Amino acid sequence: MFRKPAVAVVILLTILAVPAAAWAGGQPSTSHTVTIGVAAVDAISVQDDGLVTVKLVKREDGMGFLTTEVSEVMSLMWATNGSPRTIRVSAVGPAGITLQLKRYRDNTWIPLGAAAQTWVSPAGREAGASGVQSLSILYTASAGLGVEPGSHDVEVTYTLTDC
Amino acid sequence: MLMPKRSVLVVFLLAALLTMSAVSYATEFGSSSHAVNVTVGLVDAITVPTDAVSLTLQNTGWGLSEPTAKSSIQYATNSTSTRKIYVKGTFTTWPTAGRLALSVTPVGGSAVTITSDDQFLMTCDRGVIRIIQLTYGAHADLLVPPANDYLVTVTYTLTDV
Repeated sequence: MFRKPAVAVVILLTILAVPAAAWAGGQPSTSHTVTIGVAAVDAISVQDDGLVTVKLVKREDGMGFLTTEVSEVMSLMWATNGSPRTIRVSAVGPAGITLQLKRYRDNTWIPLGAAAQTWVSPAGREAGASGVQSLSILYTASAGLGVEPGSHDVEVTYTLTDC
Repeated sequence: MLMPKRSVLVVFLLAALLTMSAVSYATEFGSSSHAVNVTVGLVDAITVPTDAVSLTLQNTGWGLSEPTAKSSIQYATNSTSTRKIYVKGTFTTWPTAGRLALSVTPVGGSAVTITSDDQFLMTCDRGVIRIIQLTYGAHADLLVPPANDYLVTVTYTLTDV
């Protein structure tokens, strides 16, 4: 009389135990390794073709030229995942022509010369930018009377460097 | 026209024989049966190829490429309750700054960004061995230092949760 319920209980316990036993060794899992390489990125460029033109304004008395601001605002763009990085700037042109540089929203003009000088620091990962960075820049130009009339080029070079 | 006596006797005997054989076929003298018990165990299995997967984010000039790499998982289950596959990563070597992301997309499914927590990848089909094609993808911003050996161990778990 008691045997049937006992058998039923055993069967029930067996049924309940099967799934428990299946997970007893932990849920089945598998794994493999993924290796990721990240290349170095170091890029810098001035806007478009980088050509800036300025026509020097004569002094009121006609005895030379005023320091003339370039009306065109240029963009300097760079991207890097290196660190540390700085941007150095230099300018090479005819003697007697002077260029100055400033950030668009800044008030401090920096005279440019053949010797490279640090202009943006930090410019690398330490600056905290996760993508392309940019600056708007302005120039002024002036020339002494020793410079011959005509068109003269001054080459301004921006260098992204680790020093 | 009457049949001779002998013929009548032959017909009678033939009929008697046929009747006896029919009776013998219809008679059961006993039977026996027993049950054959077949135990079918639970199958829950999942594997991935042991080959390491490699992704390289190339310099694109102003940033980094977003490469992809193929792999697969294979699973089998005969469970009558729903089985799902979850994925998570153990980040052995990983940048402390910036965002380096690894995602995996099962064929016909949606991309899952791999984190250190289990995340649902897909629901399993029952009763078949399935090979699921996977596509890994990686993305990094420029705050991630260049390196060749960022490592993550990706684990796939078959579960009923």
